[in-house]
Amino acid sequence: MRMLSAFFLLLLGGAISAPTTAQADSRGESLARWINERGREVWGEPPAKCDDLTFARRVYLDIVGRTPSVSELRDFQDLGENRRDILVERLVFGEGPRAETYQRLSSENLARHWRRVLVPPGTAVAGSTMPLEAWLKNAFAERTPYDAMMRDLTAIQATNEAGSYYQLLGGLPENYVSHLSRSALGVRIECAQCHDHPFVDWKQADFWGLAAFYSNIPVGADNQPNSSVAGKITYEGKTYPAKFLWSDQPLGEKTNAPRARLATWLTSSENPQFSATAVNRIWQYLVGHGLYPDVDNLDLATPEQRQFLDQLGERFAHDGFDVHGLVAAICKSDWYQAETNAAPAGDAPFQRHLKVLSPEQVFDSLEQALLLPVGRVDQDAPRWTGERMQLVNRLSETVGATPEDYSAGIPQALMLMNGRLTNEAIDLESSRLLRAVVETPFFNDRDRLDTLFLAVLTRKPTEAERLALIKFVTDNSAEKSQQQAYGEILWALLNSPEFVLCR
Amino acid sequence: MSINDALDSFTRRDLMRIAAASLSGVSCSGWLPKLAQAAAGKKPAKSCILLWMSGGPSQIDTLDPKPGHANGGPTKAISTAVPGIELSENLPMLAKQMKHIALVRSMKTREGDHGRATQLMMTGYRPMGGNIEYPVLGSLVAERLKPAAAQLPGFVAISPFRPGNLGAGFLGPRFAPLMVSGASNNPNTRADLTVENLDPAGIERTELAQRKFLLETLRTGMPAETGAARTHAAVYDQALRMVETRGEGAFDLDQEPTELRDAYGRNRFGQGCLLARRLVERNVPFVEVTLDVAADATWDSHLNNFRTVKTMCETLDPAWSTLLTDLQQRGLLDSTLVVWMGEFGRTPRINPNSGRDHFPDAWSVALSGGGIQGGSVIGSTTPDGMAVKDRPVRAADLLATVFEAIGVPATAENYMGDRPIPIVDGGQPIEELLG
Repeated sequence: MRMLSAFFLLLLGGAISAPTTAQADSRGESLARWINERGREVWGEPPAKCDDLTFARRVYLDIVGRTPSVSELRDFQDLGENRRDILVERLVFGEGPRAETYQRLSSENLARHWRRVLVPPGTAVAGSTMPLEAWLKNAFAERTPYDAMMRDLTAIQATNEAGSYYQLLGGLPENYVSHLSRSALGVRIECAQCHDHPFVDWKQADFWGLAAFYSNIPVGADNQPNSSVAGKITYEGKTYPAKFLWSDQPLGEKTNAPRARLATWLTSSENPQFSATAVNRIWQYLVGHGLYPDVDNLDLATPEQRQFLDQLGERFAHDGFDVHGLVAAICKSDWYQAETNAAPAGDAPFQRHLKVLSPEQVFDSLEQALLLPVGRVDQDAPRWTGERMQLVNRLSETVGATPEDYSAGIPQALMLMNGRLTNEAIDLESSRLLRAVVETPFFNDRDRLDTLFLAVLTRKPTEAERLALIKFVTDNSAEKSQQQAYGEILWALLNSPEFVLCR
Repeated sequence: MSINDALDSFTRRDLMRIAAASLSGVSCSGWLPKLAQAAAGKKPAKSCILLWMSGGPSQIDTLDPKPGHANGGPTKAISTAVPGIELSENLPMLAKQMKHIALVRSMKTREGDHGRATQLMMTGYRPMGGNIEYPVLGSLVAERLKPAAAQLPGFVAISPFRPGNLGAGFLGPRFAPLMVSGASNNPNTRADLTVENLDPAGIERTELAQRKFLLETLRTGMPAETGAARTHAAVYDQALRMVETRGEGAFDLDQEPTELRDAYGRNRFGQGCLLARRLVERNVPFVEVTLDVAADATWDSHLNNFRTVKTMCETLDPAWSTLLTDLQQRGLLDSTLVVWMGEFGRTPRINPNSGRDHFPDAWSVALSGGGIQGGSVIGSTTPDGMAVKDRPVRAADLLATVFEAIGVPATAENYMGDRPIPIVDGGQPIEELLG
């Protein structure tokens, strides 16, 4: 405990100097400038920038998947004038003193997010999503260009390639192309599986024409493919030839390696649907809503609605489908850094809303804020005892359709209110954070409150909060009950909307 | 008058009378309507209890006995309170309630796999591999019938077993079931049904008030007017109300007389049926109680069917029949539809392991209450049980009947975005059963 106290003194008192590593582009600089300018043409002047702590909370959550620790916040403040850009670079590209940790965390976080894109919550899956996530993590860790990654997913030769994504979706061509067209091209064609689509122009020939590329992959338990060769598929007695979407020309029967051709067509830098869908999804992930909000139905956007999107997609393709560069550029832009609206601002052309933490972000932020043990050797580390899985599973039951939908229900709220993790966090005997805060010598009530707020909500209390909460503490005369009062305050911090939302 | 006041108003004499009641207990005391009146104060809202027989019970050894035919096996038929209608000998207590029960002996579906058949019977839609997540019956009903200012969720699922992807679907988490499970796996405490994390450890009412105050204080630091923060506040307020009132006391089964708890059966399903009644009294529109395992037996009787089904029925029969009498004596049966079904039936032919396998071609379900015409039988099967003889009923027809019985038009539609999704996939209600 003494070590922890010393740790807190250090991070509240001392300044740590850090080397700075700013480089010219390839760090998303010029793309960020382009986004700023293009945004001004479309939306006018950007809203005021959020404050530093809010910014830090955003980028830590968005890139490494958890809130920043108090000591990371201290380091950030010391980075000097250009600190926001430097922080983005450290987190995105894994640079600076914590490079290894950030590289690992950011590829895990990107992989988790992309796994949710490929397998949205509620999808019926056959087996675990772990192999897919591991495959994605590897791709992001190696900075595989986005088109190459999606090409591998498209051109599979067996069901267990590319993280077994094909198997995971049930091992059926129709399931695979439903998800592939949605995730990679931003179009939902699966309604055309059984009948021509009543609202948009998708026909059965489109759906089954795409499914035909996968017709020779062994299916299900009996391993019988629909067809012995890729390129045609039979559904309800009718045979459909393979063809690309938005094309009337079926591929010739003699085409070699049709799936490789599909992969080339789908991920081509000339395919505006592909690059636009990618940047739209990443924009949605970072800013909360897509440049065109209905990210799965891009074909419903008007040319005007998707102009910005298409141009950003072109630049993304031109820069070699570099996901890290794109993420850095968006995070450096004025639009990402805009203040969150306090109230719905009517028809303001650009607004930033609250975002909801993902289930893993909730746990990993709890772990960080509460100073929980993380090492595999520590038998009590909730990360490894199954508590993380339990919390993530419970929260995963109700993940919203976009980052702006809070859709948790009563069981999720009860878990955070009364669950074991929370009980231990607010208990003086078991809570590392609480003991560090109440047992640190020289701390007055103000320091204690500030530390709790920074650790959990990444901000300091407002003056009104400070008054009310210090009164709440000092209303208890006994020292013990004053300490317990901090436990109650911590309970409220963990259960406040601010903890599970990102402002 | 709140539920708690109503419970306080039970006098010692009431409890003595209960204690003095005969062993058939629940059928004999005058105190029951008192709570019903207090709870509702007016005509109670419509609700539905689904007794979900996960695994697929044998129709021949429960609702559609075939004595005298080789496929009937050793199971005998017994007469019921309604002349001319027979049930299997495994359900002697239920037989006495026959005048409240409508049997449908002509279920005809097309899914013989547990997962797919469960999806069909729970949602009314066959699994298609598309991306529409169809909501289960409980979510559909909760969405229609949930009173605006309810303290409890609109759909409670007691000891549920379901494939992971079945839930509120496109209706969203507001209509997802509140899961109630046993507090432990200790067989002696399995009947101890609770909502996980409902009880804050070591917290008194005054401390709860403190927490509310602190939470209010912190909410002011957030842009509270926008969507996510507002939803968060609403969910937390409801969760806090549930914690404060301990779910309006619904889960405190200790408040029930010992006799009545015994009558339902001291097992998870029996106590779950009792809890279902308590939830319906508190205006929860849909409660699902699952019976999948009892004393190491399951409905999935591929082996030793006759002993297995008998064991299951020893749990089922007292719980189901006590639920019907209990609801009736509280004046709640007319407003509460009780549905008994599994995902399919079992093969009439007995396999070499004395078992019966999955069989969707001709099987049975039962409906009671909610204005359903009791003491009736819809459809029949051939003497060997292998086929529906007349009046085939599909999954969608059954669900259409359920909706109509609780006052939801079977022609209603939900919307997934702009796209209309019929509440029932083209089913026709069984008109003969609807009042």
